[in-house]
Amino acid sequence: SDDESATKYPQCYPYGNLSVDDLVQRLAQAGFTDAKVEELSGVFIITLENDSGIIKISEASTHIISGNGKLREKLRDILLECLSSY
Amino acid sequence: LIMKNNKVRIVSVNEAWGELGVTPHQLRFTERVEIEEVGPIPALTSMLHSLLSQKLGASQVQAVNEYQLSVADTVCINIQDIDHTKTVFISWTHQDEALGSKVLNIIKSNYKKS
Repeated sequence: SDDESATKYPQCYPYGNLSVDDLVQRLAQAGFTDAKVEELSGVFIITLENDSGIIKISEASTHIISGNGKLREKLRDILLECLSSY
Repeated sequence: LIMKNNKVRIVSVNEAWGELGVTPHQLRFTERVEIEEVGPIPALTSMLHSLLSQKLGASQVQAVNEYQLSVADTVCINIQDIDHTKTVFISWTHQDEALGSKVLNIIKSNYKKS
């Protein structure tokens, strides 16, 4: 279960800039083809209507909002692929 | 672990960011769980408070107000009534993934609407 695989420290520390285009492309590759992107004064909001998930991207932070643990993990992994990390 | 001027030092993650001159990218998650529970929000908040205290230790869980709890000052729990459905929002950052997903699992396994 998630509980057992949980470690005390994060597996990586992400940094750097996130490319919204890159993210949308990777989402599409993972099957999220209904991603709708909106921009409002520098903040990007990606809505995945079929899966009821929202990704809100600001300059140095990203917020993933979902109602489904599996979706969250999938989105997190795609997002981490788009960022540099150590 | 930072190696600089032929010296090796162990510093906190935040200090390391500063010394390396890179900007961390903060990841935050919010999970929405609809739960099957009737009754007023404050009663539900107090039930969740007891449940989490029992599972994680009482010192870990703080009541912020009648509809908000905080776990170890890092995981925020917000209880709302949306269209007559009690909905719990659990929010944490990537750094607190272990605790955040644990709290989510505790709430889901005890209260999730089937």
